[in-house]
Amino acid sequence: MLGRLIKYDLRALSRTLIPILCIIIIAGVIAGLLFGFGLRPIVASENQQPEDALVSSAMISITIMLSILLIAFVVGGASIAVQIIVMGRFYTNLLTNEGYLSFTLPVTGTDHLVSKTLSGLIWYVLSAVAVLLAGASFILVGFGMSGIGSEIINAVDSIDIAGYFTQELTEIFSGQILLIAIQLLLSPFYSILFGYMCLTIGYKVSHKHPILVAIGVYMGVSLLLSSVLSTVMTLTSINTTVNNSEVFEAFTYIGQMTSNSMIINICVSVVMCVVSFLVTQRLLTKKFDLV
Amino acid sequence: MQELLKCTNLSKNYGAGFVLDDINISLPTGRIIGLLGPNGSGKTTFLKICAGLLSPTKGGVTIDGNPVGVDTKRIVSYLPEHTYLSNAMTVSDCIELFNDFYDDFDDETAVNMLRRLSVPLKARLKTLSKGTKEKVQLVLVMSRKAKLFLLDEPIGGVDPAARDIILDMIISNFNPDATIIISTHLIYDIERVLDEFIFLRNGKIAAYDIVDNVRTQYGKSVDELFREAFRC
Repeated sequence: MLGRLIKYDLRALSRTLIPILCIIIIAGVIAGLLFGFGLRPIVASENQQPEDALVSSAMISITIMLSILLIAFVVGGASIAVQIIVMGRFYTNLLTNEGYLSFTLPVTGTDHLVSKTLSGLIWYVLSAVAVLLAGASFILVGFGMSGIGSEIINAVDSIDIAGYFTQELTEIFSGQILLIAIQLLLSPFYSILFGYMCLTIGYKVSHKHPILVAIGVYMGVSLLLSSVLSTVMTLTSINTTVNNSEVFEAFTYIGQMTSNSMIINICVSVVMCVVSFLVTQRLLTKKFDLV
Repeated sequence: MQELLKCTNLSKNYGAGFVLDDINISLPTGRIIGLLGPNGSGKTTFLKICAGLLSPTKGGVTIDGNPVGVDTKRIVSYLPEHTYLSNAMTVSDCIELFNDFYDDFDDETAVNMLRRLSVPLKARLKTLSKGTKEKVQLVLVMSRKAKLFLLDEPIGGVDPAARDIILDMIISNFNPDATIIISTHLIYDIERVLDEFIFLRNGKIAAYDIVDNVRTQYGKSVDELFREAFRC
């Protein structure tokens, strides 16, 4: 039954989200074209007047700025849109009239919660892939069109990146990369489950204004968590004086500070994921009233 | 006759007062039962508790010996008063969904009934009128071979001509091993299909009897008896 629920949850959002994901990728290509056009080296003609050069320069700046704004808008807007649409599906399918069908199907409230979590996660991953494709298109098309792509590649190849990283620095940053990867993996789970919990609490507290209450719960709990995190991070900060002449010690200090904060963030995210799941599950299964 | 549904000290309170107050009743299989009462008497609340959409404040309900839950949802077919299907779905999507989740769903019966009602299968629900959507829902619900049907105002939103078709559909698809509970205000229209009736007043059972008894003992129809009993 869980598989069937996931199938219908994915299908329900595909009509809205697939076009959005396509738009993201297309926007990346368009932004790349604009960027590349703006970067093309101006071959000044012998007869080009200073005022012509000024106009050309202004046009270049505008097209580059437009392309960067477009890609930033698309990336930022995409993640917000996906979150809102996934939350919207949970709300309409379980807490509005559609809930009369959902909760009379021979499945449990837990099945519904797991299905919507997994289907939401799949859409988050697909939107991340779309954003990556948009970014890759932007870079490849942009630099490819500009005619300076090969020069950039040669310049990058000439930098001895490996030489800058000693073994110690490599150990610090590889640990941080792992922590960043864990945070990136946890982030969609946290967003989805926390959002579902706020919506369910909102519905439980007020059938008339569930969204308003949900937003209040979201902001209140987020504020509380960030206050607690700041306090914990301040208390656990390393009291180390940095000798500015030693770059390595500075890197070590910064590395350990950010590692500590990331570890704390990860622990809090895991706890909040579990708490959010359990609270939502309880509200959807025990003494649940669909009014 | 076997006992299908049993309520024991069933009460439901929303805070302001009891909507259902200490209901004790046992309903057999093989009956079409009218759940009748004025607005606010608790009819919809009763059906929603049996369907698993509301939790009782006190007491409980068992259906075919099981407390309300996943097992009872497999054998209960519920039709709410309002539309509950997603407007983005087509009629055939809805048939596929019911087919996927309910082992007792008969898709051929559903398709035939919808064709008889001239409902296009490929139409998206948002393009259909309110009455047509209600017909679609009713067809989906009645196409199941469930043990208990809970119909909340099945003919309230449809035109008089369609009411007859719907009532004929209810009778023609009636399984003698099943029970249908119909909540309605339109007693006059529905009386001809009823075997038994329950009168609800202020969350309590005011009467539970066989329809024929009312005619033979009182010489009245159920509609006339209702008007007398609930005269303002």
